[in-house]
Amino acid sequence: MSRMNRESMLVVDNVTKRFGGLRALNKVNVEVKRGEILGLIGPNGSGKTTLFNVIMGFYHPEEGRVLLQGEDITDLKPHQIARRGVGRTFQIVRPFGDMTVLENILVSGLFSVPRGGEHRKIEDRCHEILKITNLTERINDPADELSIAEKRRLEIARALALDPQLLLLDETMAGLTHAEVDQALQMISGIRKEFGLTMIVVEHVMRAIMSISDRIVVLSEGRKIAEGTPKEVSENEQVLTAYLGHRKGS
Amino acid sequence: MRGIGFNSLTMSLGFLILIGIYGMVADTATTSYLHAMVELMILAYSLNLFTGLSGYANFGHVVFYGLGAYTVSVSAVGLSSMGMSLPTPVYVLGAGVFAAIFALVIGFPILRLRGDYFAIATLGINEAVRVTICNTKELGEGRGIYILGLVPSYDIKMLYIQLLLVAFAVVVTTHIVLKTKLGYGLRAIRADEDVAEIMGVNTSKYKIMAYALGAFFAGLAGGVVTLQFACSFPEYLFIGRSVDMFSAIIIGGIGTLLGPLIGSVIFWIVKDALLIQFPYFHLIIFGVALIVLILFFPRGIVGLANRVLAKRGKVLE
Repeated sequence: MSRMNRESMLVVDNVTKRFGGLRALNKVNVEVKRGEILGLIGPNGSGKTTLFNVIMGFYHPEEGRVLLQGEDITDLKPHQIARRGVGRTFQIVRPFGDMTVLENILVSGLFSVPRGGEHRKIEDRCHEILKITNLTERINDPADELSIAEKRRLEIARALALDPQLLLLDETMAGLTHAEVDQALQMISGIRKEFGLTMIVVEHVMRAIMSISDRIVVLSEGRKIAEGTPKEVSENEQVLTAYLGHRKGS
Repeated sequence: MRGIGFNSLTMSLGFLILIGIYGMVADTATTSYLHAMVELMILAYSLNLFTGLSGYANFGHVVFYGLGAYTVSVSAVGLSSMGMSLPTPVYVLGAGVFAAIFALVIGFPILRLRGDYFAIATLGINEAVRVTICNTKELGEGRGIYILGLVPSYDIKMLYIQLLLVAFAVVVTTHIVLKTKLGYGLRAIRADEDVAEIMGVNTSKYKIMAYALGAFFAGLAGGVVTLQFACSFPEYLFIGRSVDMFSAIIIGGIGTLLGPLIGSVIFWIVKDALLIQFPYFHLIIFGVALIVLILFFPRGIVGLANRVLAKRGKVLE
């Protein structure tokens, strides 16, 4: 199987990002293998979203580099990184509100192709993505009118229309009901099968992250404090401390 | 957008042909009245190409109109001193090109600004250019530059046809932009610039392209008007004109194909009527009407029409 090919998709190499005196990321190393789902967890303010912003080119780190399939993308602009096949969703959904669902997806479809592909073909692909993300019924509705779960799916659909190789999912399941989380999990594993994507998933819903991740990286106060399989991480002493605080007397 | 986009284009161009014919057969007073209306229409469309689509408020758009005007007068004076003269369309084209080049140069620094900061910068540039003209001897200072007799002779009907051709061009351009990558990219920028970047839109490039495109058409309008009045003076850069354009696209429907046309026709007729009825209060009445419109119909007349049409599965653009 080609999935057995274990070369790296993304390497975050010794990255430090400061905001004034605060080190939002402190010498962070993360490697994502091709085809794997990497879970990224950590308490609020631990640097997860900052790491996404560094990968996407919104922030340029003071130290370290980001390599996408061996290419240094540290100093590229977000749209250049997007066109190299990195899609992301936002924790707080940000659809293009006054555009329809289809138009929202068309934007990333149109712009992902460097030479500007055929409009017709792109539209067909967008329809397919809408089917997978279960949005076909809302195709001509303004994105503003969608429910929160639908908006989250639209975020994923938009990122998929970029035809990405690497997908960054930022808390796609926050605020969803139990049943909706199950649906989202199903959709993500469906997407993985269909597109053979590599993903980095930030999630606070532990049940979700433990079940879909191949590996988990734990950040706390800008540092990587643990890395391993879901089981290893959930038994790690440092991780428990970071989440729950120190035990009395220890 | 699925809908009757072709019809919106046909309606716009059909209307231009109608007022074109009417202007040709009517007396010169009516032709000048229509001339001024079409001029506002072109300016509204040119503002719509940039501000309407990208959402960047540009209060200094009139600067491109003024620069176009001065391009014609300065080049007419310069050429005639060498004993030369060009056909009028060449002057007009030159006006558009110069305005677009100016937009490209100025756009690089100021399009890094967002929101209110950008709006203030555009005001500043407009005033800077106006004050520079007012204090430059070669540009006629406050008196302006007169070119009577330096360009092919004055004929309102011929100029009206030229202006209508410009209007045709700007309508068709808007239609094309709305249908292509540029339009999608700009609308994405209007909705959320950061997300647009993440979706692969080269936001800096698209903003500057739209800025220069809008400037080009505003420059063309300024060029034709200079030929009409056979002069250009600093009043062409009066900030109030930018407000007129804004009002027109807000009334009609910002970012749409039909909006600038509907808006500028209504604005022109109503403003003129109010001016005659209430010479002192017309601006107050107009201001109140605009505020009401923005509060209750932020998407203008086209948006209002679409609310009704949506039930029948149709959409105006």
